[in-house]
Amino acid sequence: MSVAEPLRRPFGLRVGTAAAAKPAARPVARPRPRLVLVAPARPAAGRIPFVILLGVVLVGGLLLLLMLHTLAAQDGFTINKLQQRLTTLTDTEQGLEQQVQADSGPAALRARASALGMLPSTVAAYHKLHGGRAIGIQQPVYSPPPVTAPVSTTTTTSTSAHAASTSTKSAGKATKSKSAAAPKSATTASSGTTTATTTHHRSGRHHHGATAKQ
Amino acid sequence: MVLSVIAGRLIQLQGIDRSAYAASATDQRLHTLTLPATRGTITDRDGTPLAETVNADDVVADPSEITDVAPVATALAPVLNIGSAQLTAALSVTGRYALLAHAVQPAVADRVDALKLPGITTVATSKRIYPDGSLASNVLGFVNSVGQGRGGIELGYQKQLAGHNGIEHFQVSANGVPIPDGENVIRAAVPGSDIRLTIQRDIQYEAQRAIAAQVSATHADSGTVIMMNPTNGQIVAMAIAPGFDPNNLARANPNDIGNPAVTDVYEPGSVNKIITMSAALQDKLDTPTSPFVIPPVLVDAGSAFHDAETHGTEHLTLTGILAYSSNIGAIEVSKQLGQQRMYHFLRAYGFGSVTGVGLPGEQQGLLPPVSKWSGTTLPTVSFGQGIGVTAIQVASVYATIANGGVRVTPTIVAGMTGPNGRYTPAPPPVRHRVISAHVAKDLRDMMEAVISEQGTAPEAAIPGYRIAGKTGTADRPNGHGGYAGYTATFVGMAPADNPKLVCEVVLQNPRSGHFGGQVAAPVFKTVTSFALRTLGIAPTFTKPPKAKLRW
Repeated sequence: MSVAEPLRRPFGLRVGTAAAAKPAARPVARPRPRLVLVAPARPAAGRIPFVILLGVVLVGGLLLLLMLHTLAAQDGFTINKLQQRLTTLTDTEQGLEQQVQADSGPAALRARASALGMLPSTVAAYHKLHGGRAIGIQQPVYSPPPVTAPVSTTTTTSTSAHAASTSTKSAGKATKSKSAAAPKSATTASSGTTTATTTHHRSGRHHHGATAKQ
Repeated sequence: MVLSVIAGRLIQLQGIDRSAYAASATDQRLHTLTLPATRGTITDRDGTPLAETVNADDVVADPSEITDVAPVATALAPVLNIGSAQLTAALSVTGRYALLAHAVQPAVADRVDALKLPGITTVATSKRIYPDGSLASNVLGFVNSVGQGRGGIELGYQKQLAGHNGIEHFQVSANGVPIPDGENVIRAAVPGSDIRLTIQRDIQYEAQRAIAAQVSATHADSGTVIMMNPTNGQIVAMAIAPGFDPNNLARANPNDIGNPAVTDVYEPGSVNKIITMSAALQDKLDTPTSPFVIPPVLVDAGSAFHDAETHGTEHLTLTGILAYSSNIGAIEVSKQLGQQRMYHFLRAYGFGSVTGVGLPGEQQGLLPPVSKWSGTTLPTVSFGQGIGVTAIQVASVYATIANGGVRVTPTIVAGMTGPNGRYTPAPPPVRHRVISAHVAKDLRDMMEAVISEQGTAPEAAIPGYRIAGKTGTADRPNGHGGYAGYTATFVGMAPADNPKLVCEVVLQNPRSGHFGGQVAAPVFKTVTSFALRTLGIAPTFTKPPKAKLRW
């Protein structure tokens, strides 16, 4: 807007030629509106601050973009690093699991139990929970020397533990591998007793033949 | 003038050839990667892995970057456990790629990386391993070099185990390094389902150990043990000797990598007499004490039939015929039955069709229709010659009798765990009644006499338990229309009055001893007594019935 343009007419006032051309139409003489000097429009602002503003916006935007990119890249690197760590840990886990499987597999257990002089039991004895009577066939796998552990007459859960502790006494280190060698027997009533009644420690090396002949 | 040339070129590049250049730029930047789906694990019934896929690394070389081969080979040899001469040869090829070791353990790959050898890198891959080696290998099968099932469960359930590979697009910078921000997974990989078998690992091991020992002791060609739970048809153990180690397929004998328990068709011999007996009882033609006169030789349809041991004229009951395994007695029973009824029962017990156990390559055996039977077919079939069966079919017959006369389709897959982690049990097996519960009980009582001192298999007896079973000593076809060697079988169940386990032992062509009661029954005893202990199956503490074998 420039000063050369006609002034805005105040509402309800007629100013100008049209009004002046028909003076006779004026029913009542009205006072002539007072003309007020309007302040001139502000001169255009200097360009320098605007350029600075643009510059700030530009630099700020660039910095923000750079920061976002850096963060994204950083996340990318973190993901990469964590993925590598995950792989390493998975490798370790799988390696350990394989080792556990190799050591707990039936073939390995049998070999280790044999090395400890243990024999697989050939029979299982069962306990009647009412009356605590041992039933079923109880016989040693290998006769001499007769280091038979006492037959437990306690009930289900304590039987396995008792069997384990008695075989500890008679077979030393054998406990762990024997209890692992018959993992399922712990679930049944008294096959743990079988462990106690039929496990013997001996130094002989004829167990393979003895087993086959049973 | 110059400006217009430049402008023309600009228009050509940006306007006309634009899409082609943009595409080639994208191609340079964008790489597509297949995300391999992890193959499912196969476990035993308790969840112990029998086959699983683990991380591994290939060790590869870029021979063009290696100037001095000898020190590299010397450094790698102890780590890879490969001879340095072999490595030197592998590194001396021209070109930019040489595979030095396939799928080594990650720990080994780490040690290779730690050496920081020029031109040597490790590339991540995966590997199928069988933690227990040859354990259940004939059931599990094996995979080929690209990890696809090529035998056993690995082949039969290839689709479920394999899963679906995924696809990933990612952008790389000019020097080939992936731009971290640019990853874009189009489709994630869906891992394969885990398969849970009905096999029990410890019993499987014991069965394999026992049958392998007996195969070598009797100098047999091969041996099979099948143990089943008759009540639900689940196979507890399926052992084959000689077996193989799927971890080291290159060293396996190609003849040993199948599963003869379902593919090997043989003549069953006397174990088939139980079908003859059950038909006679079910059709109410006989009772266990029905009297029979057994002549030393029986001439029927122009052929002379003998028993395994020469004897005079014997007066045996039906139970006696089974206990002594008299061929002539079985022929007499079959003549009461007739061809049609005999055929009906053979079919009803599952002969002549696959059992549906779900193992690849299962055979249906050889059971010609009655229209093709000759005059000698009925008497021959009555004692188990002249028809072809598989070991799993015979096991299923005895499981039917153990299960009160109801045949349950044998199953070896207990269920599957899908990619969503949810376990779905296998659909319940098909059941149908073959004989009445009463007849099944009579047959079990009769089979207890087989285990007695008078019977053919006292060696199958397990102290404290009631055992029922039947021996078989069949002539083995030599493939040229004649016979050579024997098939020795024992199939039994325990406890006889409430069977929880059925165990079948088959030895093909044993040369040191050949009677089923002599070579197969001891294996039955070893494996079954182990399984009874392992599964905690208590004796029933009942008295076996007094068997009347003669009259």
